[in-house]
Amino acid sequence: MEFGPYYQRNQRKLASISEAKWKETIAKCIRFIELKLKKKTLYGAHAGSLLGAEAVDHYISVAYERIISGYWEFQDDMDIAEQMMRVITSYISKAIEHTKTVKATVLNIKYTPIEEEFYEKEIDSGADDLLEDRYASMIKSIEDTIKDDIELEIIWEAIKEGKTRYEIAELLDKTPRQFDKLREKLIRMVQKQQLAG
Amino acid sequence: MGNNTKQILSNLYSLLMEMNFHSEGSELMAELSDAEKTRIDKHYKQLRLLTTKYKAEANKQYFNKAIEQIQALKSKGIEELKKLLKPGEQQELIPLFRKFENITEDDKVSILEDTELLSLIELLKERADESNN
Repeated sequence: MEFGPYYQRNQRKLASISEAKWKETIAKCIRFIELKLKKKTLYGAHAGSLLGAEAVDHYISVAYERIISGYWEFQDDMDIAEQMMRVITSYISKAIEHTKTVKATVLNIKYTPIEEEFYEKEIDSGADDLLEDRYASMIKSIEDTIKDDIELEIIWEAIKEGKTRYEIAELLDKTPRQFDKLREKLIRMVQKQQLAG
Repeated sequence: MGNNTKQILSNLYSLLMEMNFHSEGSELMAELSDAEKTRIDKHYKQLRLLTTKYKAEANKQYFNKAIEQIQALKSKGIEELKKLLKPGEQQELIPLFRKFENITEDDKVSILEDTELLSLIELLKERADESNN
């Protein structure tokens, strides 16, 4: 069992996190990993092997292990969910999978706003044509599902244009918090197209 | 069309990631299925277990280091150690010094709970290191 350079510092920070907060964080991170891997799969035929419950469990375990052991520095201005998502992002990206040393891990920490990381473009390693057909059918399925729901249609057009949460909320004349209430509706939309796909 | 379909789905996943990040933890918990709750409980137990293991190892290493320091200091001889302290400090620390002089193997565990004695050991070690340099 080895200790990272931030062990003592991280322990002080972790001591104040309640059981409820930890569980909420784990729930958020599981959803984050699932979405991140789905996004990655779009751009690489081999990335499909990353999907599944085992991969999600692996990345979430890596995230809390790196923080508890002190190899990842717990930043003052970030909550535990953001810290975990940053570790997960780094470990999912191929660049960090090959780094072994503590020094390299530390050097790979990025402090760009987390929202920008969600929208980061993936490197396209070339998916095959069969997947392209599947993506097209997923999109068609979404469009069939949202027909007659004007609010979802506006959101869908905005998604096509690559608009962010804040921009879509503005478009709907809502606050981002009010827009968040539509999250379930959006998730149902995605779940329906997954069943079709 | 190919790149376009990928980009649209990518935009969708990015937006859902952002909304997930900003979601209220309590609302998210209310949406979970029993299977998801079990999975979260499993991870919570694992991380608590990991935290406990790291703490136990840290305590063990701290204990061993303190014992090592005590042995190294005692090997210098008590009179030599007293010389490392300033006259004011000697008077203040004399009761602790007696305790230090009488440390036996059996006392090792209780030493680690005695913060005053540990401070004396730390001070003696610092001074000993200074005088060696």
